[in-house]
Amino acid sequence: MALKKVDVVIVGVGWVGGIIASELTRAGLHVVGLERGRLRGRGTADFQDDHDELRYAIRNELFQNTANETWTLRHNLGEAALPIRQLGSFLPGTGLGGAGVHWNGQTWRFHPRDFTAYTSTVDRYGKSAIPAGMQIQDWGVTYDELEPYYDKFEYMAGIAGKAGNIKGQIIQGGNVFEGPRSREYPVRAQQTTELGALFQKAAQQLGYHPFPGPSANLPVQYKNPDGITRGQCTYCGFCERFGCEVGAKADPTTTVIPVALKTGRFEIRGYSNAYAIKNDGKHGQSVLYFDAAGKIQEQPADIIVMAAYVFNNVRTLLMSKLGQPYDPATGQGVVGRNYCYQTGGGGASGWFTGRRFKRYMGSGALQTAIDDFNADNFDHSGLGFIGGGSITSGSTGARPIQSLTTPPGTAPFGRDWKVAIQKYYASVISVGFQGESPAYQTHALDLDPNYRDQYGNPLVRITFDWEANERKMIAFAGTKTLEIMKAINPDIISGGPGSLPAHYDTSTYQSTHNTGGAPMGADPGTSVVNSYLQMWDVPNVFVVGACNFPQNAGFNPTGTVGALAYRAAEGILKFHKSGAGLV
Amino acid sequence: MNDDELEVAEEEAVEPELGPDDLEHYTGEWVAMREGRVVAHHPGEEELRADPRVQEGDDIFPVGEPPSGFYLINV
Repeated sequence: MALKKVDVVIVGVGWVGGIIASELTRAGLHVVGLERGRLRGRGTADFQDDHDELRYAIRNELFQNTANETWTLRHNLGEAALPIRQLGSFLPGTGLGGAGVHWNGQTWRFHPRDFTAYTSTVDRYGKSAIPAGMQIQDWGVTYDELEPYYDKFEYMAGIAGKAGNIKGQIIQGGNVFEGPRSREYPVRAQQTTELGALFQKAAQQLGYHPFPGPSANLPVQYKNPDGITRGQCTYCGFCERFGCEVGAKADPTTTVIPVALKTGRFEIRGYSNAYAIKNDGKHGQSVLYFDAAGKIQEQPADIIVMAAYVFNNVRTLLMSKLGQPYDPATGQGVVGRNYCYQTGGGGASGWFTGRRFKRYMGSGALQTAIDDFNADNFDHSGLGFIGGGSITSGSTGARPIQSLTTPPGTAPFGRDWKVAIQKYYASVISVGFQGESPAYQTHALDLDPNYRDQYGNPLVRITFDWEANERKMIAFAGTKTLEIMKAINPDIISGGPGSLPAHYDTSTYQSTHNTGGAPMGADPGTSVVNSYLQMWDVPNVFVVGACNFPQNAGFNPTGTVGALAYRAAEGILKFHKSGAGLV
Repeated sequence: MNDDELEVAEEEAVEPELGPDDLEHYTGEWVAMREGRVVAHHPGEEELRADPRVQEGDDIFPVGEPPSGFYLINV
């Protein structure tokens, strides 16, 4: 028997679900949030042993359990897909707040060009610059249209940074390549570390434009427009893979979720694993989910919002037979289209002899960056690739297990390794590159025909591999990071033309920036949702998150995901008021 | 597909026969590719670019090892 109908049911209570819930409940709507994991709160018990690296970072306390649900991977359409049995390459969160609890807080805005990637590329370089099989497309929304929502997200989350462009006025010291902002960041930038200063000096020496990376780790106390006050960062160095026990790192549980709960109109149900939207092809009626006891429940609602991680949003649509499934062989269909990732690699490392830094201190987004080689900020003529990425040097902390590094040639274990660790633990600097991941016709998500999850439902099958464009981009990036490292001038340097492995390899962590599968756009033939993240075919279903990216940019995605969530909330309220049709 | 069949399928899929253009063959080398085929490969970029089989417009890049994971790109 179905449960009592509500105005809105949201699947997934992370950044997207929390933002939408806070906006809708304050507008008077009654909302139920279905969270597949536990309802981690802000109590002492939720944060005891919070710096236990083994528990959180190695044994994956806050991440999806692949014993219950995982994904299969194949590198091309002819290969048999196999299950990813252990977490590695990416780490989707589970539990209240989702990945928004264990993120680092790097909060970027994509470039204006990113939203018009196809037309901008063709305009500047011609159609022939787009390699065969690449399927980049425009977003159906422009940077200028999204700017107010970026601004809203940044002021809600208390993002610390230095503007480089306010209303078209370029400001040195900020990111001079960024799109115009309507105003300065809400919080001053984090103070540059000694390592950051080395990077800054080297980049300036080479004629580049360094600036402090935008951060959701508060350097000072901040009260946001919703009346939420958070304290400043202690620089413990345990952001990535961990929750923040002092609440200095913005996360949904310290910002938007309390605001929604305070209205009395938001109910969150933990251990509620949604798997389908009941519908008649034109209207979503209810969400079907397994409760904590494994019993199927049905939650009817006037409006349904998919706010889960990329894979689960797409899987639920496919299982619900909502939208036309994408066929990577023909390029027809939309659900599962344009799956992308993040292209990492091409980094450089340097070790000093006799010079020690306070690497044990830091925060997840404490970094210095240059944007000179991102997007189309540089002339690609003759380079043989399109796109680019951000180059950063971070001071994110140095944990005792996963942050140990030694110079090339050091023994991988034993006495010599231990001696090298003692000598170099505090004496290393790294410069990294985070590159775009363009869409391709054959990169896609669909339902695996063989493998199933704990409930017997099909797993998501990922079809993905590195392509020549990204390989050339990474080779180029490696020359730039090495150039910067040489200018920093440590005693030992490791770097050079960057390379990607023969195939995408899921065994080692690279990035939790999976995107696409439910792209947004202006054309229903190539997108699942419109610019308000509303399904073309089923207007009372909204699908929101990084799944909407038609391709991924050279930045961390959360700032853009937050902006899209605020825009979706506005669209949902418009739809609720009108009662029907596309916003 | 039952469990036994799945197991067989998985075993068969674990060690597929690599095609001549599979980049696994060229780990640690630079390759030149044209229309999905490897036309030349060498240990270094300069040697590769000097190879007469390489033409303008070929995709030229190094093939690396799987990521080591030291520099973490974070969420």
